[in-house]
Amino acid sequence: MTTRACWGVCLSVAACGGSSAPAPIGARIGPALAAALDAAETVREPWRCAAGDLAQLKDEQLVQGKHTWRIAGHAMRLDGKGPVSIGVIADAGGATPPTLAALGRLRTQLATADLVISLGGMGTTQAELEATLGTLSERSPWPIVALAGDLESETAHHAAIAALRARGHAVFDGRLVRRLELPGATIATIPGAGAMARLVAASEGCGYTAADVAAVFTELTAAPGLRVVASSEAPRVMVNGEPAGERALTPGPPQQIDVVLYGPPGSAESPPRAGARDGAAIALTPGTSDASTRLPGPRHPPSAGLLTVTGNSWRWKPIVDPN
Amino acid sequence: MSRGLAILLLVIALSPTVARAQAADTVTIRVAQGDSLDMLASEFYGDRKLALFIMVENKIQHPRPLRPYERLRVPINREITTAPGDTFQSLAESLLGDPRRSEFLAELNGMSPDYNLAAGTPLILPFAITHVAAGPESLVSLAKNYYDKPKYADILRRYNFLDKTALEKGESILVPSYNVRVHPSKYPPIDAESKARREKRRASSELAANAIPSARHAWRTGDYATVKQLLAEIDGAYLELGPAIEVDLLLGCAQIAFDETEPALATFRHIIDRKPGYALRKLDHSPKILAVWTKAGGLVE
Repeated sequence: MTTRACWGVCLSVAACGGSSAPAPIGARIGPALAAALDAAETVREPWRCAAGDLAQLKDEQLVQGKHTWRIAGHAMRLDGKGPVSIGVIADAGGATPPTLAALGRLRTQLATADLVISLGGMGTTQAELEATLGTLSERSPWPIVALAGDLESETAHHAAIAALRARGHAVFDGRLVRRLELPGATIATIPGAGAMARLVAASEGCGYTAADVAAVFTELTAAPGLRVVASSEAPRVMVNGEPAGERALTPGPPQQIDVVLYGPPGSAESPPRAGARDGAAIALTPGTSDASTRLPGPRHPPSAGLLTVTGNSWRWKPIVDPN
Repeated sequence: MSRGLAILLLVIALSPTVARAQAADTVTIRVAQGDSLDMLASEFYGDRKLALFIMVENKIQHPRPLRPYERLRVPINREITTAPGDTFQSLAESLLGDPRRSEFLAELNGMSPDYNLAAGTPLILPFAITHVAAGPESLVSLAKNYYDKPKYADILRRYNFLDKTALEKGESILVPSYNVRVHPSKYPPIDAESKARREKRRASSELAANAIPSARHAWRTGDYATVKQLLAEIDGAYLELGPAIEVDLLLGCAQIAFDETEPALATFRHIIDRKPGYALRKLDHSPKILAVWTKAGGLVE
């Protein structure tokens, strides 16, 4: 049971304990406890990771590569002039040796990026997350903003990032970094999944609500430059001719979003594209970076993507592991 | 309020935790094109009739086509490696939630619950999923649904320490993977510590197999220094019971020959810890050895 649910049980049952009825303890408390436990099981919800009222980041200045980042409140800010390149990666699915090797190769291909966003699905345990995120951030010239996806438990994700920070890696929790303010673009983050059934860690995973997402979209619509959303789950898209993804993550009028970077609902990465500040909400995915195979047969090579923002226009370039 | 809280804490402390005592070990997979629940059960368990375990773990209430790229959790048995001092009882208590489940753990591994485990022994740990009764359900019907074997109802009853043969609506029960044989290629890789223990067991067994005959010969010829030299580096905790006792007994006796009473006491205590009640025959050993043995807490017959 989570701490939140446990407190709920404690309060519910404690409220039943004030009576001075002479019935045996078991007879009085037993049914109340059972009912409270049942209630706690049904009301458990994942962590709200896209809410606007979460803890704030500690103020700091981070010098990483050629850039100085200012971190305060819920934002990471990079001053200066563009262009700016954002590496995007997702869905390592764990720390198998082939996947770690592929992440290393993809990191090399992302060398020109100014920032990398990991959209989640990078591992289940703290050890897996430290390995996958650590491979990406090892001596990297850019900071990584890591969103928890459908695989990560909030506890493991938080602990892995804390451990990596302690070792000098520039990795930040996408639950706390809600906004990336870049020259010519603002990126808002929406970690987690919209339903507990889609979270491997269930109530210990990261979730969003439709209201949280709407608030993010509304705030982002008013931002200057390109308006980009980075979400762990996909907006409504077609995969192999079948609809996939979430309606809640699909911007609609009066929301004006230019690009949605999303974790893949299939293995393939989005093809090269370009666009501008037009509110078209173009959905782009880096595909999967998972190099492990469960079944024999052909597989999709691990991939990532690079979004380059120049003025009010953007360009998307998929990056595929050459091996 | 405070009285209520105190009573609550007492009730929580005393309440049975059967359903929460053991979480299933799972691997998380992506559904591939053409996968079905039956095929996944066949792939992981070698038996498509065991798909119910995957359905329950993923809260899938009715069989349905799977969506490509959907994530699913597949409960699997896990390989563990014993550490010094582990017994089936201690492992069942820490990993299965109750020492009384030691018989299941031992049976699944083809041993008896009182088998004396050497450190570094690989064991299979069964998984268990929690079944919540949707209405009144008999254990026989549950055994039929999960195992395809109604006679396994008794296993469900004993695993959950029940004194009844049916569940009421809302009652939960642990369903262990009693007849589920997970394909070895699906086990997660073992960690470095377990690997090291297995390697130490292999090396210790090899060392003991070579050293014991020579040490026996050296003891008979009165070459106690050689006995010590041959056996001192062997960690008996990583040996099967028979060789472990022989190593520590020979080493302890050789230590006594050099008047090293304290080291001999420690060596003899290894034997007594490993097999309480182990007795030396009075006629086989000198009074000096028997005196140290007795001081260590050993029995003489």
